[in-house]
Amino acid sequence: MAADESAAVDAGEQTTASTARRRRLETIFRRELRTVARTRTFLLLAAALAAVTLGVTWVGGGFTAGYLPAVVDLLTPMELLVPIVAIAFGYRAILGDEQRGELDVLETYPVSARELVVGVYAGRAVGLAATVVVALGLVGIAIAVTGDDTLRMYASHSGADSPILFARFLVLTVVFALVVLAVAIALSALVSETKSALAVAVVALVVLLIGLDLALVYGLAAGLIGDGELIHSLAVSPLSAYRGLVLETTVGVASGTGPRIASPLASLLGFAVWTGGSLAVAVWGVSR
Amino acid sequence: MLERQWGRIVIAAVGLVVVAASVGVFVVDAETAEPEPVVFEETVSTGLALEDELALGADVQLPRAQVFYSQYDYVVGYHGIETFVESFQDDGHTARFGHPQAVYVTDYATVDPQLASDGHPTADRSPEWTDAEDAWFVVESDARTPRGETVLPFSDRDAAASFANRRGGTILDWPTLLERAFDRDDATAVADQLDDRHADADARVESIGALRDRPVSTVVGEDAATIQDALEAAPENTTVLVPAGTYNETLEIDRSLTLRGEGDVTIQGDGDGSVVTSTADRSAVIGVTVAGSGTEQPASGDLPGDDEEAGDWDEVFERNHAHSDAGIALHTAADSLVEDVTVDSDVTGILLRRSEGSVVRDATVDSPRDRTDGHAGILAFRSPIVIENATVTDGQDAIYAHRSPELVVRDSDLEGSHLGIHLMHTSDAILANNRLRNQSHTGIYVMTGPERIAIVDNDVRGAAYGIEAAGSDAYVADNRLTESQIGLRIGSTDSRLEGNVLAGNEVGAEVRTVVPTNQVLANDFIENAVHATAGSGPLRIWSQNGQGNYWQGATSLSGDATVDRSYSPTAPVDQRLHRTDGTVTLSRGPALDAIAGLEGSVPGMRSGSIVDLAPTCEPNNQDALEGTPWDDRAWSCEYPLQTVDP
Repeated sequence: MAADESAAVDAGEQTTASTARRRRLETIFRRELRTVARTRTFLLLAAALAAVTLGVTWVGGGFTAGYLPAVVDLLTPMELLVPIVAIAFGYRAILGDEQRGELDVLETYPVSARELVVGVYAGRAVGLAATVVVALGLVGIAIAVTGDDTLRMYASHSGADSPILFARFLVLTVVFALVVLAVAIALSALVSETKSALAVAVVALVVLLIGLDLALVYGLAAGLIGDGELIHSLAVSPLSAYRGLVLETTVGVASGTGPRIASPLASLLGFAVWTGGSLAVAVWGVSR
Repeated sequence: MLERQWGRIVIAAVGLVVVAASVGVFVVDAETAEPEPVVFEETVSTGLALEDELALGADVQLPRAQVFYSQYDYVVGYHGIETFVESFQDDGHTARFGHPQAVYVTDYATVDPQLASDGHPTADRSPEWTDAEDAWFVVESDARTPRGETVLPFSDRDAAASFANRRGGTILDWPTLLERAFDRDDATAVADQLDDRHADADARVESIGALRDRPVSTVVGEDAATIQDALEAAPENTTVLVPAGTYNETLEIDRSLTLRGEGDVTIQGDGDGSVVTSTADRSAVIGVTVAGSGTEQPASGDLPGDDEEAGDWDEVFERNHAHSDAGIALHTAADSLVEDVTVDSDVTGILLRRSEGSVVRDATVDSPRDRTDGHAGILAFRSPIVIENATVTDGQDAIYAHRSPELVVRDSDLEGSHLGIHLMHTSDAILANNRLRNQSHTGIYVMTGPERIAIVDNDVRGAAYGIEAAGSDAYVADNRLTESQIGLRIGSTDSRLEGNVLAGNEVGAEVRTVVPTNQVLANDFIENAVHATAGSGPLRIWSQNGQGNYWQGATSLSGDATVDRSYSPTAPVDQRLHRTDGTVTLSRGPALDAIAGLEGSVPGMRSGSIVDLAPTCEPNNQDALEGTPWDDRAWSCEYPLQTVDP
């Protein structure tokens, strides 16, 4: 427990309840930030993710080809890697507090379960977002500075390619990461020991990465999902929602007409439900 | 306390900016501003053969379009608006280029367009560009390009109407024009017409063959002392018969006669000028061996023949290239026959200049061993002719053609020259069933962007480069290209390359053009060190409507005789599949699968690569492979999984 926090809590000033709540949230948020910053494993994760994004872009020739080809090359690897990184960031967040006995300490303060969960989530979210932004930002910068390999004898133009498309991809990837982080936080609030946390995290990853998409395929094949509903049902799987949003807002811009790729609203709603629901489960888990 | 307050405000402000920026990137239009038209000469252009372009008058202003595609780096220039429309209607056009972001067309409203006698639009200055969406298009008027009927765009409807009043035609807007069908002969039509074209050539050979049967009027040694005396004494349309023997003479034929040797006849020149020269239509040289020509190239003095210079763009070329000393030289001798001859060439073997409709068959030319001493074994200059059953060894070019449209070269055997068949400005040629060996440069070299060439059933082995295909709407099919440095160099556009066997080369095929409009399918790539490479330009998709090529090394785990994934000969792992042990395992890694999954998307933005989205499991040309060393090496795609007997 940091000294300033105790000072804040013990100040004994006449503050309104909301100010006090905000201050408690802020305290937890800061503590989480410090945890993220001090944990070398997270740094390693960030470095590994950056190496993979740069490597995938290089293999696909994306540095000279442009932003959009890089997005296309990175999409599937990001679908697989971002959930892993996000789970790693969150699967022990609340469990750790519990194991160190901090939950018991916190119980002696007027910190509600909701404040704890939101504070932890926000703190870890900043760390995770930074990890994703750095990894993809490096790719974006690399594309910007390497230029293209077009022949100078011919007039050329950039076509539909644009850094804005890459920025969209970056933002969507961050949002996707935050959704999975919420799931991870929920898991960490439900389990009671590290071993089971790891096992549950792996199960969650399998469900997220493979299970939900397969369930969609099954639903479509078995007729549970009608042809007109698929585009909305995609939102059930965060991976499909993410993929659909990326394709719709980047690749779809360049390719023009065709069947609709995704329903952005449904996908965003899916994201919101997964995040809100997971955090609610986490609150329930903590207060249990 | 105050500091903390400020801290919060800063954090809140930063947060707001991040959120606003994140939302902002989705709100702003990612499409860049409408690009400005560029200088047409800087576009990647298509739709006009160099021959036609060179022949255009200075004031001719042909209609053109320049197109900026969403997924293609280069601005594409189209000669003729209809060329763009046809291309736009092709299957896969949008997949390859993306959608057109901007199309600019020649605006004849900015000039006062006239039509020359051949229908070519002329103007006293260059027209401006206008946006196609706002333009009006006059179709079915008298306007023509070298390719035929054409469409003239006007930014102003009144100007279009005024032109249509004068020169006919109707006015369409852009969306209607995009739907319109233009029937121009493409590579598929070239393929469809092949049989008819061969039949035409057969008919020509048969009709010219009548020259063989002219009655004998003069026998050398009986009716005249020398061959030249006989040629001068004989009545027209008869045969001068030459009995066996060696004749030290230099001959000139200036009337319609047949010169025919009987038995072993050798005409030995004196090393000065051509040995046999004909300047008469319907003349024939049959059954003789010719040797001892001069070695000048170009020769001095005037060109033989009765033509006069008309100011054509290639007359300097003509004086330099078609004025060579030769064993047998035909100048302005249309519908003539050279048959059953052997030429021991000192520079050029058999030369035909402005001798359209002639036939050269059963001819053997032995060119100088040192190629710098030789010119061409058989040279066709402005001579659309049929060459068949020719045998040419060594020299610079075995067969050289310049501006000889509809040339046919077939069933010939060409060995050891620098270039085997060398085409300049020769559209609509057919090169079929020839056997080419050990050319030090290229077996079949097509230059200067001709249209509708057919290169079929040729067997090219041991050249530096097997075939260099160029031009547009070419049909390159069923050739066997083996043991060369590069089997096939693809410099063509809108062409169909199918059914070729590319085996045992260092590089099977190399793409040299930056426009990805060729159809490449049903070819077999076997035992090449590298199956295919691509130069600068976008991703080329080498499959058409689910039909791809056979790539030795492409594997399948599906067990149903289809390749279950795409194959990219330019990818580091795929390109080693047929020669590096272990790559099959590496290629099945999820990391590679993850990247390969979306490989075919946004092709126009990728560079220097090739992907076949539907590789075939078995070779497509089993008949051509039978009995060759490549047959055993053309494994089924399921080979790695089959139980192989030890």
